[in-house]
Amino acid sequence: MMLTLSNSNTGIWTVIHVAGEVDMATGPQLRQEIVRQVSEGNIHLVIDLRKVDFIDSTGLGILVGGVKRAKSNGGDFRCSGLSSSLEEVFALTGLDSVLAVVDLDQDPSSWTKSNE
Amino acid sequence: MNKGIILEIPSQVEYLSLVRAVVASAARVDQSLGDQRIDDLRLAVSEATTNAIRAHANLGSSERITIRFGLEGDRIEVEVQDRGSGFDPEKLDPAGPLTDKGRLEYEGGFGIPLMKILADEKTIESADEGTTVNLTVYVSPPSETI
Repeated sequence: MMLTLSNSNTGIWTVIHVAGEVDMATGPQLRQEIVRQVSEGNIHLVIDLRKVDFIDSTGLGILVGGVKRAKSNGGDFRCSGLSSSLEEVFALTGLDSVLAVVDLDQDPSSWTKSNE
Repeated sequence: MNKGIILEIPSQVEYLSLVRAVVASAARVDQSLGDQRIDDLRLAVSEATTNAIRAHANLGSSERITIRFGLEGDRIEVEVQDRGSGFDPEKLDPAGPLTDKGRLEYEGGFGIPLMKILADEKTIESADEGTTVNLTVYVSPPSETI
């Protein structure tokens, strides 16, 4: 299964659109893209998961790493478009306590406030 | 247990999606298992297989990993067997809640807890010659079975 990544910009936010399955095989691609964006100064990141069929513990760890990277550089890290299964996994692992979920259809100004 | 399907895969991460596809398709043979439970099983088996691949990588082993799948009356049982060097499941260090100070420094620690939560029953038998993880998901919750 391939992982496809693309980006878009909305105000201060860079949205990384993810499609496919995130696991031990494909996860390094996503980690590399997050690291690249932060290193280029794009520290306000949203991970769009609407087209993600599956995330395993590797993927969850990459999101945790994203929160740390963005925050330690003065930015914010959000995700969006969780399936019901992924919502369950976020709740079970406690990821929902450190990673806010935003609605990409809403005004981006509301995204900043989501985790405050 | 009548383990109806046996998969032997090379110990390579590229085969994880194949394992998930087979498990999900096989679980759908029992039409009473809902999509959410199939997703739970798919993730739990993927985690067990990922750990098996890691165990072989740590040894530099090119041996194959065996996944046995069985539909048995009121339950689905999946066994993931590696030939790694084994570990003591009792000595696993829990990573702690993500809200703990410093927890965000560590990306790991989700796999085995997820298996435990998502499967109705989980056993890990580990020895020097390898580890076998058994995962059971009941078609109906255990409390409702006779």
